[in-house]
Amino acid sequence: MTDDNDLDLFFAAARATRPAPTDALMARVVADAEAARAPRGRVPSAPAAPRWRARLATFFGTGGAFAGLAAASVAGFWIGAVQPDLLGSVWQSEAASVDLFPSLDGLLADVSE
Amino acid sequence: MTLAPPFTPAGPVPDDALLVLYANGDPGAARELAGRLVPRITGYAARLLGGDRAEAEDVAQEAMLRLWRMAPDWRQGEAQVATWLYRVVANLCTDRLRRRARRPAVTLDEAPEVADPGPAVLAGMIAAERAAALEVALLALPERQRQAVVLRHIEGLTNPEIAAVMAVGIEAVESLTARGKRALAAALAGQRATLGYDGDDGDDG
Repeated sequence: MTDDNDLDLFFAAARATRPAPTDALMARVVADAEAARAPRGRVPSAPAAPRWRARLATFFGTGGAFAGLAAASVAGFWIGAVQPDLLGSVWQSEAASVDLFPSLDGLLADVSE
Repeated sequence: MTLAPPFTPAGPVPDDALLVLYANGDPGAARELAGRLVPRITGYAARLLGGDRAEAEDVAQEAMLRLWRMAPDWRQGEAQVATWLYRVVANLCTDRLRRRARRPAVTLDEAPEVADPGPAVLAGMIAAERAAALEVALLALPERQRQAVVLRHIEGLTNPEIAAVMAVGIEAVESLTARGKRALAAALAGQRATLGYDGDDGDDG
C-alpha cells in the first residue's frame, strides 16, 4: 500500500498541474457579470403604449401611415389658410362644376311617349 | 524588531467586499473577483469531474453566474465567498456526475500513458502522469470523500473551512479525508514503479 509520503507526491503533482482557466472562460465569466448587472444600472425603458394605441397602430400600420396622414392634413390646411382665393376660383369656375345628378326630365319624357 | 504602525496599510480588498462593489456598479470588481476565484473553482471542478477540462469550465462559469446573480443580496461577513462557491461547484459537479453515470465508468487501466513512461521521461511529464493517475483514483472514491480530499490536499483548505463548505462537523471532515486517503493509497499502490517515484522522488514533491 502507498504510504502518506507517496500520496503527498501525487497531491503535489496535482497542485503543480492545476488546470488554469482559459482566456475564453475568463471572458465569458466577465461578460456574464456585466449582463447580470445590466438591468439594475440601465435607465428604465419607456412605458408601454396604451392598449388602444397599440391596436390603432396595428390596424393602420406603424408610424409611416400616420406621418402621411398628418402631412396631407397640414398641406390642406396651409393651402386653405394661405391661398383662399385659389380655392374660391376653383369652386366658382364653370369648368370645375360637374353635374353628378343630371336631370331625369328627358328620360321620363321618352318613357311617357 | 520594529513595532507595527498603528494604522497598517490596507491589504487586498476581501472577496465579499469586492462582491458588494460589483453589485454597486464597480466595473473592475467583477474582473478582480473572477481573477481570484475562477482558477480555484476550475481546478476544483476538474478534480471532482475526473479531469474533464471543458466540463469543469462550464461548471465554473455556471457557479460564477450564480454568484453574480445573488451579489445584490449578499450579506457581508456572513459567509466566505470562496466557501459558498466551492459548495455550489460541488453541487453542480454532483449533478453532472449523476447524469454521467449512464456512461461507462473510467477505470485505473485508462490512466493515460502511465504504463510506459520510458527511461528519459521529463519530471514535468512524471508530474502530469501522477496527477492523471490521481484523478482516476479520485473519481473512484465516494463523492464526499473525494470532495474532502481535494479540498484538503489539493486546494489547501483547512479542516474548519472544509467543514463550512461541506456543511458538516470538523470530525466528519477528518474521517472523510482519512478514509479517502486510505482508499487512494490502496488504488495507487500498484503504480509505484510505473510512476517513477521509487528511489528519487525529491524532484517535484
